[in-house]
Amino acid sequence: MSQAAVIGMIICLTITFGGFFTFLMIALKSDKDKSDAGTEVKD
Amino acid sequence: MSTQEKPEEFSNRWGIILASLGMAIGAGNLWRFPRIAGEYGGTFIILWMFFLIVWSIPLLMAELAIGKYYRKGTLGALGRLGGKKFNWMGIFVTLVTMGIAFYYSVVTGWSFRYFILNTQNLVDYIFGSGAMNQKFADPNVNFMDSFWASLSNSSWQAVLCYIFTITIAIWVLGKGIKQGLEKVNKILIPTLFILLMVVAAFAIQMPGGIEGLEYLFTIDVELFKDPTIWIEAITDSAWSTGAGWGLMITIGSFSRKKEDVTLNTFLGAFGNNSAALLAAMAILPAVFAMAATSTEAIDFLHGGNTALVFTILPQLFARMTGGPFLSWLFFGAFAMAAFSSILPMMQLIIRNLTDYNVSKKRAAIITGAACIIIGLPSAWNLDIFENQDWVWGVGLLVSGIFISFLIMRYGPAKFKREFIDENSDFKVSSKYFAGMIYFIFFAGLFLVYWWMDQGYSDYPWFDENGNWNVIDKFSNATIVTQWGIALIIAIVFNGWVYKKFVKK
Repeated sequence: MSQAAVIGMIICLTITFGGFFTFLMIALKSDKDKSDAGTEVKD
Repeated sequence: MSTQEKPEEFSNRWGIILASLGMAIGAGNLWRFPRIAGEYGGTFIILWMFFLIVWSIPLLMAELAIGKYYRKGTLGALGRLGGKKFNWMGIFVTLVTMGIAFYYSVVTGWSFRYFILNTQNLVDYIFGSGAMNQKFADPNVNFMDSFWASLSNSSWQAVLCYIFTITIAIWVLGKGIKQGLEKVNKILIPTLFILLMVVAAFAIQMPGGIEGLEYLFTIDVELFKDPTIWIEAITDSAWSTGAGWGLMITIGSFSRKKEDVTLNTFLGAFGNNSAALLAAMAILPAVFAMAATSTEAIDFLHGGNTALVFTILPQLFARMTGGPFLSWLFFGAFAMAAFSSILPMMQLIIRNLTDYNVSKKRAAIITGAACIIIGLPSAWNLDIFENQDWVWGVGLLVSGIFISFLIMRYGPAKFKREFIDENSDFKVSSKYFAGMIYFIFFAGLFLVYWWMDQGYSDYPWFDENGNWNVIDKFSNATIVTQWGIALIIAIVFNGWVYKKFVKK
């Protein structure tokens, strides 16, 4: 693969998958914090 | 009419996120995005991610918040937001998405038929003579072309598959949100991601597969000057994420009060784009590895959505060792993506019916029957299918314009404060949200103009005899006529809908 394609791949994957995993981690952490604080209310 | 049922809710944020992923990850992720991304490469991907932030996320966030705030379907929620004067906009948004649901249900039928075909091929490949796969692969036989031509035109097989998938959807949705939609999405979405990863891993390792990645990821700075890529990127983002369809209003209407609108939207939207990119990383290497030359691979990508998935890919898969297995996985993923998208479309209709006090089981049956009856012409004739895809696809941009208009009228900053920020730990700036809502309104107007100006028809308004060219599947006349009918219905029933769905 050419250098331009490798750079492009790193940029595109970082933005797309990186963004997805970042928000996934924030959501998991938020759920854990709420659970730890005992604020999770069963519906 | 039945007695009032207990309001339904998703169990937690993951129910909403999986539903929004199921809604957004559809056939378009597997047949449109890889095709366009392969054509324009990394330049397109960067712009497509840019428009995810600029167009899709603000609109999806607004829709989720509207549904959560009013806890009603599209008719009731948008009617409350717009008031009696602009209630017709909500009716139009609902009609456009219903129009999509009716023809899109046909795609689920096709995908199911291809999954069966590939299952038969795999069984024959492993336990039989493998003659079926040889027939798939032989360019002189052209089996896949004939199969697709017969399935997409006047085919009872297509109708039966389509009725079967709608029946399954009725059964799932009749069970309700927690027991139906949420449970099914818990299986469909993770499986879909895994299948795409497996196909991508196989395809990349094939000789020549890397060349597909080269096309997909190379960023050509010069291409940023081409306005077509910008328009393709914003349109693909709008169509792929389902922004402006009213589906997130429906999902939001089942959301618990304490849900974080902003974070859930960002997660769902980035998840959709990740699935699309994964699909492109599966399809492009496969196409490049199996085509004789790069030029042939690019020609395949120019073949169009249905041609790429229903005729070219099965032929290409058949020519490689272990191809039937890979093809089976791919069509399994395709069927799951199509099915997971038809569910929220049908749920949008069901939610509006249950707002009118119809029981959810009866609402599911009425919706399924409507899909079968009104979608039948699209299942029977590919020209009608393509016409409906074109008319309501562009119509979605109008829906986005209407939703952004209603928010502009309410006041974007006030809307964000009252609708979005409540219970959101993760917040975006008011300037960003307000700016994007205004951008969506004006960019949407331009996009509708641009797509209608593309001249896909030789006679966009009048035919060679000077008659209104409503028969031509891609003409502006057919778009304006069908939107006009939807608008007339919206305006005529404005007062009635307001009384029955909004004021009640």
